[in-house]
Amino acid sequence: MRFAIEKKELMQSVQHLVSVAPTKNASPILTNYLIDANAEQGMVKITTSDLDITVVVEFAAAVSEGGTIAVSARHFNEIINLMPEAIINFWRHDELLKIESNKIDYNLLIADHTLFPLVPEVKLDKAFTLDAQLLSRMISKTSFAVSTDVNRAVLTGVCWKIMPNEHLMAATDGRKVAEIRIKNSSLLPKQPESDANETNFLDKTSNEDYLEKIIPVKTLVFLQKIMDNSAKEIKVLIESSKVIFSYDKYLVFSQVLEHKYPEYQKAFVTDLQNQFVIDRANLHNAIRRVALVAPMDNLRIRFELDSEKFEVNTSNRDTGDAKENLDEYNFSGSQTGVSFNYRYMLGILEAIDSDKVVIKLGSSKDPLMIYNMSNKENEEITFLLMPLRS
Amino acid sequence: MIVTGFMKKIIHIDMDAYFAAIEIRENPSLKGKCVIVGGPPNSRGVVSTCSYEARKFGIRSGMSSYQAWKLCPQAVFVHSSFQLYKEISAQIRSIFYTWTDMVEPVSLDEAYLDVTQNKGGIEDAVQIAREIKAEVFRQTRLTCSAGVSFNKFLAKIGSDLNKPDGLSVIGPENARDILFELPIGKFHGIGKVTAARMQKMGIHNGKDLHQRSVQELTRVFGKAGFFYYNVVRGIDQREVITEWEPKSISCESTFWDDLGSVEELLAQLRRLADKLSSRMSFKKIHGSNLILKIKYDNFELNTRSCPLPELTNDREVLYRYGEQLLIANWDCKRKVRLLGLGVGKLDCSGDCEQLELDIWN
Repeated sequence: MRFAIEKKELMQSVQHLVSVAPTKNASPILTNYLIDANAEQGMVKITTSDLDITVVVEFAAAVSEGGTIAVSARHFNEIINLMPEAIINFWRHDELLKIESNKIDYNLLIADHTLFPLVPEVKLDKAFTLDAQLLSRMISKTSFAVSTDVNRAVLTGVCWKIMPNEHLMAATDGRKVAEIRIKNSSLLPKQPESDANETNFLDKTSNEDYLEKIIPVKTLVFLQKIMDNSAKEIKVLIESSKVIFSYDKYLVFSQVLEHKYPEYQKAFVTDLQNQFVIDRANLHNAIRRVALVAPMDNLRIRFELDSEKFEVNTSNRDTGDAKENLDEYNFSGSQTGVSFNYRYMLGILEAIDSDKVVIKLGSSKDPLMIYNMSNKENEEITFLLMPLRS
Repeated sequence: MIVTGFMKKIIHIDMDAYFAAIEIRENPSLKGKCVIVGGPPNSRGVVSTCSYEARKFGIRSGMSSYQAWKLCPQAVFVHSSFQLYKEISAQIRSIFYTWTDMVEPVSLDEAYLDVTQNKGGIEDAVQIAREIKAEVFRQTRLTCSAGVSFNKFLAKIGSDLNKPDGLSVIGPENARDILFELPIGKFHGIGKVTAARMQKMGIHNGKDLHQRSVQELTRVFGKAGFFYYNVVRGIDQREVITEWEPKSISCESTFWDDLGSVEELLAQLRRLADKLSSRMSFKKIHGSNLILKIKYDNFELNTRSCPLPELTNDREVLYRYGEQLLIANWDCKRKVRLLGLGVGKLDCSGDCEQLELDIWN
């Protein structure tokens, strides 16, 4: 195996890859990249996998001799990253990968590439195409709300529901919910009109008129990193236990989380009595300031408001207390107060698009429903935050 | 002895052969005998306490009853009557509370008291210890031993020095001598296993322990090494941890001029509710019973209470229920000198529970 490539081009292809490779794993081979050079096509393919997600990136390089090796992903990235801007040469010499550029030489021990899990052949002709920016947007509005609790594995993923004229993405950790719906948009894939029997992506796995898959958040966060406008569209192929994404030079295979996603929508409350509208940035800043002394254990902050006064406060046995009075807000309803985990609230406010945010609330035990002041066309975004009982 | 900073005044009270002493009190014919409280010797029971007479035979708490019987066949075994021990403990604790609320009960027969600030306003902790001992004896006819010192560790060592009915004072001036002579197994916090390891290392008493470096002690004993290193130098920063919880919390104000109009009273009530609510939320306390106190101009006091709909410290809820109580109970022909608002039936757990979505069926 022997190939050469500009540092910049290589770096651009592999910089996000290393986040996929596990640092410690029961299977040490997975800490490696599988690098495959094809002399005929002049292409190099690098594969990384943690078994849940597998990524293949394929890019052009000056390949003078084909071959396959496996080499430490972390070392590979770190070395390329610190190389000067120049052409880098790679070739295999016995059990070593030689990396050379100008006067810099590395000899990296290689691993047995035959141990690397096989990446299945994939035919994308049954895939549907989605606007990449739209997918990226859906991920950014929801992925922050997933759970990190592995005991509730289903909540560590984002629920993606595909209906004939609507796409929905939602995430919850049981304490907050983020949901985005895209309706009737020209950006949504259309049902293929010819041979509808075979390629209709909705009819593949069930008879229902929608498809629901729970995608691990790691996959979605990775997709977000690579969707950098180099391509407008992303191809998606949904199979029963996995989803395959094809974007630009990347191919991403992801397991889906098998389980039924909980019916989080039952928690949405539509008849809350009180509502206020306020500048998103002002509220965000006030919460951040007050939060400086919030209790470390529950991150508790409190809103107390009526039409005359809006106070954000916190008190902490160990540090003291803080309050900030906000003005320039519109309130309707009766006086109310509610406590919540400020970090959850900040996450939601950061996902709000509009300059102003609408927050609906009831008693101190009711959830807070949080919305954009105005949604984009064909879009509906809903956030829910469960309070802290106090 | 190096002791820096502010000196606390700690008393450790340890009842003498507590369960056995109570049994003897209840049945004076046992006096002077080897009394063993615990399971009978033909059972698999163990000794929970024994009288000092029995201790002379080598009987100790935790020993099997059978083993105890073999050491002292004439011993009298009595079943433990925990309910009684508990009641007497409560009685003794109430004596402690007359001096300070900073009481840390360790078990039924043992407690630490922080009397740095005390209700008697007495500087001398030894005098307090003496009075506590006397009062305990007066009320219960039971004796206890007290250790007085400037931290918990030394107070505990002190109460053990002159048992029974002892009173030892360990001050900065004699702490070093006492600690140096103390056999290593007598150090509170050094159990049998650790003591044996220390003996192996050539540490037989406090003096030997004092010579060891903190590096060596932490290497061998881990984190506990720090503790050993410190306590042999008379350093123990542990606080007296009280389980003391308030039964009610209240605010009141006496007015410059007695108030006679409902508007004025409600305005004052609003202030009290705000103040009470913020005090409660600062302390993370919730309560479910509201108490209103009205003192009239002739000093007649009227206290009324009502249940609240839930555990709360919400200022609006406190105000609304307070308003009801005030209107229903104020004799509007009379002027009010003082108004108080309080909350009882408290939940001080302070937990502030994160509510979850109910979506799991």
